[in-house]
Amino acid sequence: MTQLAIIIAYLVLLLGLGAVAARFSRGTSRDYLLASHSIGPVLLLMSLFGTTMTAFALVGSTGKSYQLGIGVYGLMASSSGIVHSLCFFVIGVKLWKLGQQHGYTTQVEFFRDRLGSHAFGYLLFPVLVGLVIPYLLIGVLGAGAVVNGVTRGTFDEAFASSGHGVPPWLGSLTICLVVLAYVFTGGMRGTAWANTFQTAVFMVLGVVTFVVIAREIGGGESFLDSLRGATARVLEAHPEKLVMKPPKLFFFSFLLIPLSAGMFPHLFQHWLTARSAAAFKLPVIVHPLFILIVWVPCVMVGVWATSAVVDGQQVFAEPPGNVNTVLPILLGKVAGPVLSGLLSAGILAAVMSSLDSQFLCLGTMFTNDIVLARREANETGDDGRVVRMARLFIVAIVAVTYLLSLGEPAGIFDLGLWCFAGFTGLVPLVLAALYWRRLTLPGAVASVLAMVVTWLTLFLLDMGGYPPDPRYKFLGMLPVATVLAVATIALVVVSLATRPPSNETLAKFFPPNSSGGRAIPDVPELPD
Amino acid sequence: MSENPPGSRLSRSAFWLVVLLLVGAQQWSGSWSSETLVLGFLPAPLFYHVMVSLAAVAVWWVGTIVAWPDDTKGPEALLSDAEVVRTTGPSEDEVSATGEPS
Repeated sequence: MTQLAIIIAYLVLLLGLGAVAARFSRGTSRDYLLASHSIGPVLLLMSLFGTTMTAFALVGSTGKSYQLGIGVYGLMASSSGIVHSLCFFVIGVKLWKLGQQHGYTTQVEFFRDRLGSHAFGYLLFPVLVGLVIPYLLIGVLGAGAVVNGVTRGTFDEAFASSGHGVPPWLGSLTICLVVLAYVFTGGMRGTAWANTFQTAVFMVLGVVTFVVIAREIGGGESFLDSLRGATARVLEAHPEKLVMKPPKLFFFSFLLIPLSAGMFPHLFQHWLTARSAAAFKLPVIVHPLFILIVWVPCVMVGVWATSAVVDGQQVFAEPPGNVNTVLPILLGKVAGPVLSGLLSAGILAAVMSSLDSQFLCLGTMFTNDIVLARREANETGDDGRVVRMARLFIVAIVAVTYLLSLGEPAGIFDLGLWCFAGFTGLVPLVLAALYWRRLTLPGAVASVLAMVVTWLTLFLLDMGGYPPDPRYKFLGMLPVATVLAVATIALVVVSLATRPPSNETLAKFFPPNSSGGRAIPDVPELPD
Repeated sequence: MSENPPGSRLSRSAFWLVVLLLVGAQQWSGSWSSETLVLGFLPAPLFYHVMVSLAAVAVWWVGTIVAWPDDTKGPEALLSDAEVVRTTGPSEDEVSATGEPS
C-alpha cells in the first residue's frame, strides 16, 4: 500500500506542476505550443533526453537484457549516443533555424512549404500519426506493467488475476489521464518543466535503484564487492549473458534504429522551443553521457535478474511471461516499500516524460496541419472551438492507443523496433529537404509511399504481424534496413526523373552562399 | 544570421572523418566474445561500448567547436533559463492574442 500511496502522491505533484506552469503562460498560442522559443540549453537537454528515453529505455532494456544479455547496450545505447546527437546536430539545428525564419510549428508545415504542396501534408499527417500510436503504446504498456509489478500483493482480496496488485489496465488508464491533465493545463512550458523534473527524478532514482539492487543481490561489504557478487552469480548460472554474439549484419542494422529521432514529430516541436542554435550544443555533447548513465544500470540489472537470489530463493525461477515486468518485480522483491514506491515513481517519470510531448504534439499537428490549414486566409474562426477539437483529437488517439494496449501486449522492445523503423524510413525525406536542392514533390511522395508499403509488407510477413516476432530478420537485418533503402532509392530516382523545384523555392531554403550545390536553371513551379 | 560556420573546411572534414571512425569503432566486434570482467564485475564487451559512449561525448564536444552548423547567437542565448523568464516580457503580438491556444 505504501508504494501505491507514493505513486499517487507523485502523480498529484505532477498535476500541481502543470497548474503552476499554466500561471506562467503568456496566453498566446505560440507560448502554449512552443513556450515562446524561450528554452535554454539545460531545459532543452533535459526535455530532449526525457522525451527520447521512454519505457523502451528503462523497462524494455531491462527486460531485453534479461533475455539477451549485455549485448543490448551495444545494440541500442552506444549507437543511440552517436546517432541521436548526430540528428540534433545535422537536422535539429537546421530545422530550428528554418522554423525561426518561417514560423513553422510542425513538420508538415515545413514540408508543405519546402515542397510547394499543400496536399503533401494530407499524405504525411496520417503516416506520422500512425507511427506515433505504436510509440504511445510503448509508454502506455510500460506504465501499466510498472504499476502492476510494484503493487503486487497490495490487496488481500481484489485483483487476484493481477497478482493482487493494481491491474495493468487501471495503471495505464490512470497515467494517461494524469498526463492528459497536465499537458492540457501547462502546454509546452508545462511539458518542458515536467520533462526536466521527471528526467532528473528518473536519473537520480535510476542510480539509486542500481545501487539498491546490487547491494541486495550481490551482498558483500563494499559496493564494489556487491557489484562483483551480483555478476559472479551470472557467471556461474548464465555466462552466455555476459558476452555478445549477434550476427554482424544484424548488429549493423540496429545502428539505423536511432536515426528515427530525426523524424519524431514531438522532437521536432521540442527543437523549435530552443532560444538559439547555441542552445543545442549542450544536448549534442551530453546526450551520449546521459544515455550511458541510464542504460548501463538497466542492462546490468536485467542480466543480474537472470541469476538473482533473494532470501535464499531464485527471484525468477521461471522466466516471467511478460519481460516488461522484470524490473518492477525485482524492485518489489529487493527494495523496502518506501524505496520501492519512490523508484517506481522514477520509472513512471521516464514513461510520462515521453507521453506528454507526444500528446501535445498530436494536438498541435491536428490543429495546425488539418484544422487551421483548411481555413481560408481571411476567415475568422473560433479559437476556442479549434482548441476543443484539438483536445478531442488527442483524447481520441489516446483512447485508441489505450484500447490497443488491452490486447495481447508485445514486448516493449520489439514493438519499439517496428515503430522506429517507420520513422527511420522518413529520414531520407528530411535530410533531402534540408540538404538536397534536387528533391522534388514527386520524389518526396514516392519516398513516403515506398516507406509505407515496405513497412506494411515486412510487418505482415512477420508471422502475421502482431505481436512482432523478435527473431524476425529480412536479408539478415532488421526490417529497418530494407525500409530505409527502399525509401531512399525511391526518393532519389523519382526526384532525378522529375522537374527540379524553382529557384524561388530553393532561394528560400538554400541561401546563395550556403553549401549544397550549384543553382538550378529556373523552371516553372510543379502543379500541386 | 551568418551562414559561415566556425572552423576551417579542413577541420570540419577531419571532424566528420572522426565521426565515421567512431561509428566504425561502435561496430567493431573484436571484444564481443571476451570473458574478461573489468574491475571484476563489468563484462569486457560492455566496458568497450561504455568507452565508445564516452568517446562520443568527446567527439561531439569537438564538433560543436570546429563544425557547428550555425553561429547564430543572440544576446538571450547567454542568459540562463531563469534570467530569460525574468527579463523577457510579452511581445506586441502576444499581448493581442486571444489568450487561448490555437
